[in-house]
Amino acid sequence: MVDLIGVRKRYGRVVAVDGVSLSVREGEFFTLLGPSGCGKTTTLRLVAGFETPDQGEVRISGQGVNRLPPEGRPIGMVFQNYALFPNMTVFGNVAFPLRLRRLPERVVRRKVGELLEMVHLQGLEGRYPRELSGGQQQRVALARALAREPKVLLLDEPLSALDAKIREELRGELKRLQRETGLTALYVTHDQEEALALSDRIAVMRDGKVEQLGTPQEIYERPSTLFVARFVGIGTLVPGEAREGRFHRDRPWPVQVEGEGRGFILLRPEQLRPHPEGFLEGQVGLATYLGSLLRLEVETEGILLKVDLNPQEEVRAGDRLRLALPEAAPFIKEEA
Amino acid sequence: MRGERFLILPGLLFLLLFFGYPLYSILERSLAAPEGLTFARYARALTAHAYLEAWHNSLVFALLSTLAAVAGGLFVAYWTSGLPLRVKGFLMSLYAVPVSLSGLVVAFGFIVLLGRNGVVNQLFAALGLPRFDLYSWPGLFLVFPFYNIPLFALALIPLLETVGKGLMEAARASGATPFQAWVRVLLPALMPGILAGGSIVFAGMMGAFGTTLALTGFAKNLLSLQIYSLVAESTFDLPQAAALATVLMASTGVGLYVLALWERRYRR
Repeated sequence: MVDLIGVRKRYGRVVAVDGVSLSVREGEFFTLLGPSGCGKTTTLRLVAGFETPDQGEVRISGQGVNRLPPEGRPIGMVFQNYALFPNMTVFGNVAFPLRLRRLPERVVRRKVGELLEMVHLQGLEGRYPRELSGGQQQRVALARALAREPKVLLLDEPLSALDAKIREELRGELKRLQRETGLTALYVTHDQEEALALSDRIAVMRDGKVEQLGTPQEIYERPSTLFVARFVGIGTLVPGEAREGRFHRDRPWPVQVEGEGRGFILLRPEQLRPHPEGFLEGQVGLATYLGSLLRLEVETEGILLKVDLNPQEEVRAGDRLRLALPEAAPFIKEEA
Repeated sequence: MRGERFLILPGLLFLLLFFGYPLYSILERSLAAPEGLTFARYARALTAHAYLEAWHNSLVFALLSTLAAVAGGLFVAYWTSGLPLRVKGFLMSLYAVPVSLSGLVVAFGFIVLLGRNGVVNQLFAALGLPRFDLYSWPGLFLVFPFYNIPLFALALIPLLETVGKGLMEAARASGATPFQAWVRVLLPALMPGILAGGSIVFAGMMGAFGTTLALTGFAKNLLSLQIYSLVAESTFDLPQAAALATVLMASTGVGLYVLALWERRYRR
């Protein structure tokens, strides 16, 4: 549905997007994830038509769109700061794309009604944007983006200006809406949790390049680079060596790995369990109660391991603990 | 916290002394007569042909100048607000220069450039083109945007920076052409700022006389020049000047009030 083929974009000496190639499938929720300055937003703006690539091609539905302005592309867009038209009511905002298409007012009214129902804003037609909460404003923005009946919905950090509670609520609704409409969505965020929760596939970006592309499970369970391992989720990277399918530090560990040579295994906090005959023995440095879990920092063999336990477990800082390791763990080769 | 309101006192006192009192004394002089009060000067101000013409000219001149400043300033502001930070900062300090220049200096600059023997007219003459007359109404219209466009742009740039780009992009992503985005989204959204900036320019233009005086002397009949001639020339008549000044202030006040009412419609 959306194809980027070797797309490059530079501003002066800064290369914002450095040869990105990827394909978003029809009906897919695709996320560009990365820290600020990684080129994810520029990539989205290239698809929207607010920027033109210096090299490479952007295609939507197989059609090259490099030369098309935003209004000529089959897109709808939601912005981080909502960007609602302040001089128009909720109705006017959602009706705007429809009126541009010169639809009869009767049709406009019906469609706006449907769209507002979809985002649960019935009854607020007459309000002005400044009379709405942040969450409501973003729902209006979403309805406005959908009003254009786009082939691709582009979302630029749409939830990051919202409070945590509203953010999660709207996140769920966004996913539901996308499922129901079967719309292709290209989503930009720096929030890895959001990316994992929403996406069918994720492209983790760094310095204008795609670092890893995969499903949320692949990205979380098998990060292919140290950057991805550090950026996505919580865990401990343990340095050592892969030899004959096993991980070695000063002694062989009972952990299977794929690969050879120096590198790191990634141990997720939920994979480590206290066990009387556990392979590692260490001391609890810090125990933090987080409500749904108890997060420990366990010091062992010169490593600080993060371990998540049931919140009912009675473990305190200073306790000694034996930990069982997972049978296998992702191995990431040391970067040259 | 309660005590903070007293911080306004020195400013208020200053205003009362140097703004309130002169205003009162103008009003008093315009009405004062040996045997009490008189409206004769107002009658003259509102019936004498020369004054009526001056009043009319001032209003038309200020309105047209404001429109020109709004049209030009909008584009300058829009263009400037989209520039990289450094260039923008430099340009914005540059825009502040004309605003703070003396009217005489500006007039002299224009005479050198566009006067009878100015650079441009010498060039025009060499090319066989008709001479440009700086000392005409069109000449004056050419001079004032030099102050007004930067002034208006400076008033509007902050607003454009916060909402301009985002609104344009949202409109474009909704399917609007750049023209449609300007007319249907950006202009209405900027209207409060446009009216506020327009008010500043309009008020300034109603009272402007320094540059006009330097360029055309008393050849152009403007209310501000009439007042000046009554205060500073052989036609000295302070009470009549006071009456005209009151008329000028009232006209400006009404103009500003209309703009403010208009602006409120957009604020809701």
